Amino acid sequence: MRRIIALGLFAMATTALATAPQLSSISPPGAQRGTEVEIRFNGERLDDTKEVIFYGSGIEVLELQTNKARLKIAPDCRLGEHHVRLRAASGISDLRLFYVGPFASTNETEPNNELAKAQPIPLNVTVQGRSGGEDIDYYQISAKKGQPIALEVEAIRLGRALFDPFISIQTKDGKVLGSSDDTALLVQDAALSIVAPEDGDYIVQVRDSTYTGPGDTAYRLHVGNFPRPVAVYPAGGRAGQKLKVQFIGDAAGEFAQEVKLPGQPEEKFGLFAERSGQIAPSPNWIRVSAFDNAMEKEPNDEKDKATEANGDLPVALNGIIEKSGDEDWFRFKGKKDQALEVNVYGRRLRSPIDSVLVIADEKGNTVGQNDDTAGPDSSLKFTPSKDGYYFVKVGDHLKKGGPDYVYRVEVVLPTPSLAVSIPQVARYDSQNRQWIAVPRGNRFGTLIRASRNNFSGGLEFSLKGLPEDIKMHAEAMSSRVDSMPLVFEAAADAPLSGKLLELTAASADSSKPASGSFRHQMEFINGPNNTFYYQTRADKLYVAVVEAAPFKIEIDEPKVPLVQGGSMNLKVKAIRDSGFDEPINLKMIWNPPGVSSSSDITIAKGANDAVCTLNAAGNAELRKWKIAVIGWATVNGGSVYVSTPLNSLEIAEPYVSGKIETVSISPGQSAKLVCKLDQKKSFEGKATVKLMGLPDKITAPDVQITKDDKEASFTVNVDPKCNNGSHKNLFCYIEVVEHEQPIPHNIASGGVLRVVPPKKPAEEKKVASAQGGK
Amino acid sequence: MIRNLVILLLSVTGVAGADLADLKVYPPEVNLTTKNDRQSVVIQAIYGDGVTRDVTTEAAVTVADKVVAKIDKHTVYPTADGKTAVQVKFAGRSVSVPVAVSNVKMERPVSFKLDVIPTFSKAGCNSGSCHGSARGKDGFRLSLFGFDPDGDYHRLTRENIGRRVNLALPEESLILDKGLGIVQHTGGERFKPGSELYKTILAWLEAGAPNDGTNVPKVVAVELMPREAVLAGTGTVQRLTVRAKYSDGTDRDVTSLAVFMSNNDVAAKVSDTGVVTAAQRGEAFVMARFDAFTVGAQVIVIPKDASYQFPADVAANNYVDELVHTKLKKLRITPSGICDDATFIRRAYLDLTGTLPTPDEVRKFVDDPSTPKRNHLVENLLQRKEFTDLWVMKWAELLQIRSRNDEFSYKAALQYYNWLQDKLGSNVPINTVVQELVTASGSTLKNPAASYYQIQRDTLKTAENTAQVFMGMRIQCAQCHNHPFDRWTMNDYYSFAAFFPQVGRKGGEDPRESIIYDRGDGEVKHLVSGKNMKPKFLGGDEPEIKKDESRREVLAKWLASPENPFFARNLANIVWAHFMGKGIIEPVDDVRVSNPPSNPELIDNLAAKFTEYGYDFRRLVRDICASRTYQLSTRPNADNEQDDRNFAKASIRRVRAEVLLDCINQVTEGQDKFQGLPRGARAVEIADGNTSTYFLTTFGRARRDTVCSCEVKTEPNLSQALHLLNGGTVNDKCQDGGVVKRLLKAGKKPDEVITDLYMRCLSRKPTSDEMTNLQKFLVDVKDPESVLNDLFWSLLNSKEFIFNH
Repeated sequence: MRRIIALGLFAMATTALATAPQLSSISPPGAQRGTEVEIRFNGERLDDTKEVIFYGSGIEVLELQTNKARLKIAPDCRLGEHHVRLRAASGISDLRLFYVGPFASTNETEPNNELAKAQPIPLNVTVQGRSGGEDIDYYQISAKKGQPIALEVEAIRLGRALFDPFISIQTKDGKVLGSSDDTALLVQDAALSIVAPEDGDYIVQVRDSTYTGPGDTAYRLHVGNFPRPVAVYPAGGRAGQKLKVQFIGDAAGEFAQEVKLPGQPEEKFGLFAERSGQIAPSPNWIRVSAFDNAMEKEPNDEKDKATEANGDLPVALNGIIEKSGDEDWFRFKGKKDQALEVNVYGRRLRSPIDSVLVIADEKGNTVGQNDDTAGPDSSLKFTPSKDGYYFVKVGDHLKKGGPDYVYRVEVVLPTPSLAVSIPQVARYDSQNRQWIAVPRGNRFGTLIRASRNNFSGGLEFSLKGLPEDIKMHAEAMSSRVDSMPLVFEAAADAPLSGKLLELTAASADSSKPASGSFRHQMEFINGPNNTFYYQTRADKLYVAVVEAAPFKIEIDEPKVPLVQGGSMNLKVKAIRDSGFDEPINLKMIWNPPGVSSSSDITIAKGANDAVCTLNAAGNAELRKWKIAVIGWATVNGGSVYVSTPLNSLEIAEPYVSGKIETVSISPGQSAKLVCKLDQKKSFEGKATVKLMGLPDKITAPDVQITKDDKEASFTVNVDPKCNNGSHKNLFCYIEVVEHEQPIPHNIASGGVLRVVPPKKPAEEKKVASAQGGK
Repeated sequence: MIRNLVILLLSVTGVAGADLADLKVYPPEVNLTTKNDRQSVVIQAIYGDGVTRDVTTEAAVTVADKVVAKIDKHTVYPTADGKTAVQVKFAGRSVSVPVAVSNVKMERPVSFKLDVIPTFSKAGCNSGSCHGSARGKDGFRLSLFGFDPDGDYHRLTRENIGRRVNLALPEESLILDKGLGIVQHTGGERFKPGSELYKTILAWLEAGAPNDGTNVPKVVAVELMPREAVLAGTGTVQRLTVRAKYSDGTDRDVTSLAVFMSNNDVAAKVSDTGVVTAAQRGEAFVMARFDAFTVGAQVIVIPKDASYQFPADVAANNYVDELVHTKLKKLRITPSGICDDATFIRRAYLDLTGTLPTPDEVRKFVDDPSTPKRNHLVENLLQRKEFTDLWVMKWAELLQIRSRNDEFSYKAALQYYNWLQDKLGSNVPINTVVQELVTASGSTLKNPAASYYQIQRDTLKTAENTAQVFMGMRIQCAQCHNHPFDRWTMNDYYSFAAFFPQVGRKGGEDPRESIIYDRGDGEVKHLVSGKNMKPKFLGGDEPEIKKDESRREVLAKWLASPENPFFARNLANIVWAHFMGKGIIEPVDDVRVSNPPSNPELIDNLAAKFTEYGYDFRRLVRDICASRTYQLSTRPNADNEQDDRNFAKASIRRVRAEVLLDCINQVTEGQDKFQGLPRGARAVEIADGNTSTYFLTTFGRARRDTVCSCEVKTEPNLSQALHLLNGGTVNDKCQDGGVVKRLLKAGKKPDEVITDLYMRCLSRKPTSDEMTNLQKFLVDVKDPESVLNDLFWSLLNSKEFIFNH
């Protein structure tokens, strides 16, 4: 369930104050659950914010004012990362991250950048501080001998800037008891746990690990007696089962916990460790699967001692590479010709393991092996060639090991699955137009992509809960493609509002069921070589009606087809509100297979149309597709997007084809060049044929043909100054006209024209060669 | 009679005072196989004062059994199979050299590889400036110094068929005509008609220019004899003899085929026939090159002055001095005196910590009556963090710790530097550090030593760098041809590189991270033969490596161990060079046959000690700093003025860039700000080679682009002088630091301030002349601060400040 509190509905702005709200950050970046807190929105064009949208449950917006809001966080609100957006009257902001923690928050107070000026803080607190560059923040805590102390910092996970934290804890006289920079569990973020060796004060340090990067970047430091295990074993269980897990890696020792797993499988489920009434601020990760676990029984470091997974497949094999050089063996019964997928889940669940997977048959022959197909995790497909035992060997690529080298190998039968996404529209920007903002009385379009796994076939899309005053226009997706345009249309009187919706796609063939829903993969904080430091995922699509745009666009529907190898000038018209004359940028939302379109098309300032040229490949599939064009213009400093309706585009066979016969001409001369025609479909009247691909200094006047002509004959004139050479890229451009619309054809490609030296009289040649011989 | 002659000669050459100590005959045994074999003999007399003399022509030489062999012009020829001896008598001593003759009836057939190729080398045909250049010369290419004999055979006999060799009329072969210079030849005349070289080539042509079979023996060693000569007086000569040993157990006198070179013609020249002639006082290393081998002999030239006495009061503090003095005695050089305490404390502070002593520290040390206070000071400085910092910086240069845009992140560079700091700070033995580097696997962020393979990702370059950094060897040349001035062949190069092709690299989860691992496959191919090369230690054995074994592990065990003869020597030399301003082998990373150590016994001993100390280089530093040699004055005497190789006086060294900037900051109480370091951090602490300032760049800070020791530049240049005079650094720091102002405010009189400034900058008080002159500037000056600031500026611009002396 989600809570959306819409405010300011009375204040209907007569003119838009701003468009394209830009939310850059929220301060503070998180809060304690069970409390009320005021947050501020930092960004631009946020004045007409109408709504704060939290994905997921547990956060209620009590009050929204300009650039700030008051939240009520439920006592049982899920801990950790939450997603939030703003909806303004004119648009939708990017998604930002907000953290809910178990501890009361306190703010860092400068100056605390010297050991002597360490800021005293209580235990079980979350410090909201700022650091980066060379700033070092010191805090002082008090603990009793034997008391567990854990530290965890959220910095990279806030998705803001490259503040790569380093934390340490030391006694007041400088003895370092623990430090952490990068961790397998939290990647660049840091965590550590110790047991206080004495009663007394301890100093905690937070800084950037390299003293570089932008200064003044927010972090949340949790300090307390909470458990901070680095691993959990087993790393998964069957959906709905009560699973007893062992938390590993906390300085105070391992401990067990029983958890009730969710009723449905989940790829990555966060388990929060609890001990003595304290809970870890962030989870350890496990898988919730549809099948049972098999647990390794040590010793299983040789094939002959392999742990047997009883029962049928699928099964999950669970183990730990406990020491360097260790290898774990399992065996299961495979059936002849039953295709299998074997997946190691290690790093994907934040285990330090860099797995290597080997599958062997009963004789010990390797039948499959993999190292890094799934990131550092291993993944492979194989089909047993006969009934019998098959062996799974798991090890670490660097032959390392440790108590936290937990892994889970799922041996499954491939099942059809599907994922839906909106492909990125801007480079290195995973947030741009990952929403649907439909201007009142107008349209918005997006490309949608479906990634099919283990099946093929047509797909149908649905968006449950879409308000009646918004329509989604979409064809069923052909099995031939994996993307297509979706166009949304809002009624002129649709209320300004928004909704988080589940966009699903399902197999059109009910005998082969498969379905999947929308996922938005987000990347935060750019790294070198177009990499990112933090990634997360949202699985709902936000759809909203926003204020009317001052323009609409439409395609002048073509009455003729686009022929294979030919082109089409698609006219796009703008219907402008009076007074709005800004240039409008256009782009085809989607090019059907074998079709390309010009980019960078603009309806010039004050103009009302522009042409988008489409080109079809010679082998483009003959069929009708739906296309749409998206257009955007700057309105009040931000971009407003609208779309044309879906229009049909037919790809047809050419009316005529041809072949150019090679000729040789000398400079200063002219000659006939013939293109033999093969008329395939009759057309009306005359068509003009142009000889294309001629270099400078060679001309050939256009000729005209009718449907009955067998050839087009050009008179080619070669300038006396033309150099000798061979011109191999000649072709003919023909404009056949039907329904008063031209159908451009490019035919007879690859024609050759040779410019050769003039022939000399025979006698001269003899003399020349005789002289040459001397 | 002979005795009388010798006495006469001795008096002539002026070494009459010394007794004959030893008589050496080279080679120590003569083996003659086949009819056309021969062996030249060299006889060397060694006198009690170390002087040697070539007495080959003076000694009485006879063959015991004249049936077996005969001797003619100090060359032994076979006459019948059997054994005998050559008897040498000289000045009452006699030496017997065994002679073995076999297969005397057989004539050795001419061999392309064993005979023809060496003639090309001797005649210079296949040198780099002639047909041995990569593109050949005038359309004809030979492999450089004959590293690819099969290719040479092909080009001679198959390329331009019928042109280069004429088997019908061998004497008219172009190759002979060109060599004789009787047809147009850019190289002119290379040999004379009837010469041995000419005859060899002609014999081969007359035999039909055959290629060798597959079983031709290979040269396995080349000996140059004698290995040492101390020649007294200009014009004195010493003959050399060169013998090659072959894989079939035979040997050959190749004196006439070897190419001779001297590295110092000013001291001694060597002729084409291998006769060394003494010139000026000094030392030369004379080399002979044959096949892929270059071997050398040390020749010392001293004046004809028999009266030299090494001063008795020059005592040796330890083995370092003993070995240095032994060499100096040979050269008849007296070392300088010992420097004073003030000079010593400044020198020791700069060398050991890269800082200057404070005025108080200087005073305390100079006034300290205890002994041995210098050793105590060194001990004290060795424990300082600054000592570690200095060596971390030097290692960071060798390991090229330097961020490179997206390829090597600043974080990885910093972690690598911190790792090094941790290792050196906790005194982990260097062999362990090196082994950790060479075997490092895993993430560059979690195991920073793995960055060794991330900074350099090319297999061949990794091998080259490993050889250069840890063994001081530049093997680069041998990538394309056998090393012309060293022992390294292409086989050596590619076999050594074969330790590295299995290093795997993959990206980590962190965009700044790389993961290094052993791939378990991958080979290095020889450039000429295209064959996969088996890993072989450079100058060592071919180890047995199991299939799953990491080649790097095998290499590391050998590389940083006593089995590797170059490791300890190289590191000992690097340490020595740091303290003495010059390596025993100089440059330190150019160890090669043709660049021999100036004092081989010294470097061997330092290496042995370093090994004995468990590669704890602090202990080696103690030995060096405790030596009298380290404590010498820079002031030369008449003997050692010209010498700069034998550590007879302390060298005057420009303080390197980072240390100089730190010292300026120290004395002016100023601060600098470097990326990733808090304000006030010292320049030697800069982790990333990419971080620099104008000052540091101008004064020659290493960019860490390469592993070469030549990156650190301490040569003075105009921009340095101008920057000190006019640039911001010195002037601004004098003013901004406010030292003069504070001293005056504390109630110090101008004279006291002058003394303080001298003590800060130069670790000494001003002389009375200096004080008198300076006081003149202060007469009737109301505000002495600006005058004293000017003085401060002048001191920082003085040579005495920017040099370690």
